[in-house]
Amino acid sequence: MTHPTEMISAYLDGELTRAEVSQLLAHMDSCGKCVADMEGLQKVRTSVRSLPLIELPPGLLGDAEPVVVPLRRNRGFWVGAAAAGVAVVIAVATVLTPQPTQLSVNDLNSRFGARVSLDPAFGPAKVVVPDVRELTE
Amino acid sequence: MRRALALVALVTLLPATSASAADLEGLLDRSREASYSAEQVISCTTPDGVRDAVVSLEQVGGELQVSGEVEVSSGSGGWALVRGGSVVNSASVETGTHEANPTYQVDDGAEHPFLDREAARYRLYVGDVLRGELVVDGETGALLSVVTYNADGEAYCERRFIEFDPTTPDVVTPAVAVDDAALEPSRDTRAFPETLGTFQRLDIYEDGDGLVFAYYSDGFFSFAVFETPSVVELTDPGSLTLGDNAYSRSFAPGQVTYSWETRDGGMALVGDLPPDMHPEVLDGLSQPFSPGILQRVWRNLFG
Repeated sequence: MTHPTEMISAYLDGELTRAEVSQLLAHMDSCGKCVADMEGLQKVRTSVRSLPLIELPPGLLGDAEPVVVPLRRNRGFWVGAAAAGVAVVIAVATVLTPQPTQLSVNDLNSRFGARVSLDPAFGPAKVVVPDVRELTE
Repeated sequence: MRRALALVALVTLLPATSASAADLEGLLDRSREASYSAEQVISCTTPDGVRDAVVSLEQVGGELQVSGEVEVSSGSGGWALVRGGSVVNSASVETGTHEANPTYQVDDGAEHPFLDREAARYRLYVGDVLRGELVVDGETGALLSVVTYNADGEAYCERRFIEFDPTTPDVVTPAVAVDDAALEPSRDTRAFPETLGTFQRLDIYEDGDGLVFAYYSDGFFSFAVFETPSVVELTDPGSLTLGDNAYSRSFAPGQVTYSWETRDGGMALVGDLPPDMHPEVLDGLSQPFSPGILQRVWRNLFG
């Protein structure tokens, strides 16, 4: 049986997704070891947090530059990054892709009219008029 | 050439199965040769409301000119829109070799005075269903009135002269020379079934804009089906839903236009067929399809 030790730590740091939390809690329902591990880890954290803060004497760190230590990255970060990448690709493709020729109803009418003018029944019975006076105006 | 083609097609469309049909053929042929000026009212009762309009017609020696804000010059194997004396759109067409099977029976005709003129009324039937009614001027042979019907007997569109002057118009715009290369017959039949309901595909065309269309007729009504690179946007469209499929549509006086998106781009239909015929025709064509955004990007990029 594999014990999700890393997930326990991440859980206590509030870094798990809902799905991961559900998965972890489901595992702990049947794993006394992980429950014990979590309780132990929780106690250590509580103890550490209860220690008094001590101000360091000036000059102890010298001229050391502050270093940013990355925390464990959540999977959500990568999902978001991928989605953003896809969105950028779509946006660029949409903007750069030449759009198909836009046809209007009059384009269709003119071609239909051209053909229908050779219809044997063509005449007043078949006249196609794209722009006429409306009776209701 | 056009008249010869029309005559050949007429012989096919209106076979001489009876004396009355032969008479009607002659009258229709005369109607194209008549010279007159007229004012025509077009009024159509559609599922989306009434669509009506008035147009002025002038016909001399087989050349028909329709005046509105846009002038339509037809005949001589072509068709052109003229605005302010300039051709804004034109096309030259040549019919294919297919011929429509005769669908309509014509009755014996009856006297039917119209606009105080001697005239005859002919009715067109499919079986027992009345589909059309023509009033033909006795003196000139001009079509004074044409009414088309839905299958339930309700009138769909009426085109009726409200003024008619049988003298040769004084001023007629000369026929516009059209571009012979505007439309080319095509053999691309993938999107266009040979038959759609009672309609038969007569010919297919394509032009330089990547637009391909097929012309269908049942001998009286007709429509064109277009395969377009993108969806044609209709102005203030209504809709028709057939099962899970939704189509945008727009009625104008005398014609209907449908437009929908497909897997490969768009399709559209323009024609004068009555509404009861629409479902059967649309069912035979590529079904509407709404792609996701990634599919759209892919289609735009790679076709």
